[in-house]
Amino acid sequence: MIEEVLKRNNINLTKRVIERIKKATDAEEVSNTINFLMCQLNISASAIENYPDILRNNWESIRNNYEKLKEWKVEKLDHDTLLPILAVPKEQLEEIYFYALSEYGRQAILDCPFILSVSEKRLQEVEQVVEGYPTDTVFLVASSKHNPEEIENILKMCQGQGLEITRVLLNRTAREIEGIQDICSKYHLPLKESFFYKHPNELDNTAGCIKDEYGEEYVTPSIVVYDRGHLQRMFAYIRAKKCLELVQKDPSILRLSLDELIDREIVIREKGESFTVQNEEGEEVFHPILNMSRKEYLEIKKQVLGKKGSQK
Amino acid sequence: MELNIEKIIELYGENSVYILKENIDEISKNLGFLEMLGFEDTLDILECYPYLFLKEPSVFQEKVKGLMQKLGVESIEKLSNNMSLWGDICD
Repeated sequence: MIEEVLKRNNINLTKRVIERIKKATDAEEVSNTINFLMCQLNISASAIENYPDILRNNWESIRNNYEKLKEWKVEKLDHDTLLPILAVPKEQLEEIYFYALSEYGRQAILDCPFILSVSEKRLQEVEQVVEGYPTDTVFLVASSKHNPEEIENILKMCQGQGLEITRVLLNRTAREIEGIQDICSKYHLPLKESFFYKHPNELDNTAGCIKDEYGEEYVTPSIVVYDRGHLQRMFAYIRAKKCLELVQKDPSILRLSLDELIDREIVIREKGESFTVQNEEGEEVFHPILNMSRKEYLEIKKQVLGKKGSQK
Repeated sequence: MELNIEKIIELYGENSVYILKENIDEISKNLGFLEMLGFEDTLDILECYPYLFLKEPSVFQEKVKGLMQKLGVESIEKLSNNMSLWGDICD
């Protein structure tokens, strides 16, 4: 039973994934694959859980791909890159390797080894629409799931908005990318790369909640990138201190958790100072302790609380 | 120091951790670059601005170098005393 093999190796997969594996192979094959991956390549159970499709493959084909990578000296790959390469049919791996080698050179493969999990046909299809782009972008686009028409639209959008083409952006579906563009129009936000780290619904909820509860002036890229719950907790706390408007000018205070903020506030109070101070230009700003790195802050905390301890 | 995953989840939501996990290669390279420059608590910077570390290493290096150049002498000290300065290269 495949379930027993997985249990024996502490690999936890959903029923749906196990069913998919069962359709492709049997327990003996899965056991051989796991032995090879875990015992010979030192791949962890959690890496296999992240890429369970590897278990649908024939283990000899996996071993063959691994031997090929060794022969080509494409080694020391992280497991998230390695597993999808090991999973491709062996003929496909040879085709893409020699094609990429002749068209882009060995260094390009070493810089972006993930290209070896893509088929030659797919790379050639993408090449038609990414002419003039650097090799790493061509490879990134080729490893995405978008069709050529979607790729053209994404590239146009990125060019128009001055956005870099990143893996995170390409991981979004064409519909999600459109959704994020719509949200930016709705809240008059410039389109930023960081928005693609959120699901459009999440971004919409965060921006909507901040706009309704605190006003549109707080709906800025550096604020809505945070989780809605965190923003609600921090905004409520800072508003109670009657200095919420400072968040617009200096949203970096939001990089602290509420517990960290309160901890720093205690130290500020111990120093006999207040949450906000006047800067050299006479403007009200957050106390510098709130902007310090953890290391700097812990040193100050030690000094302040240590002094207090010795006074006692 | 260990990476405080709980803090990242609290600040950026559950999904952020999956995104970081998917891009662990870029993150390691970018952390290594900051360490090479002499930053001591690089995990603090990662916990505060995790999405900055998802940039391609060449883009990340260009941005950090640009920021340090803008800050001039003792830029590492300035960036440690004022974490808000990192916000200039996060978008």
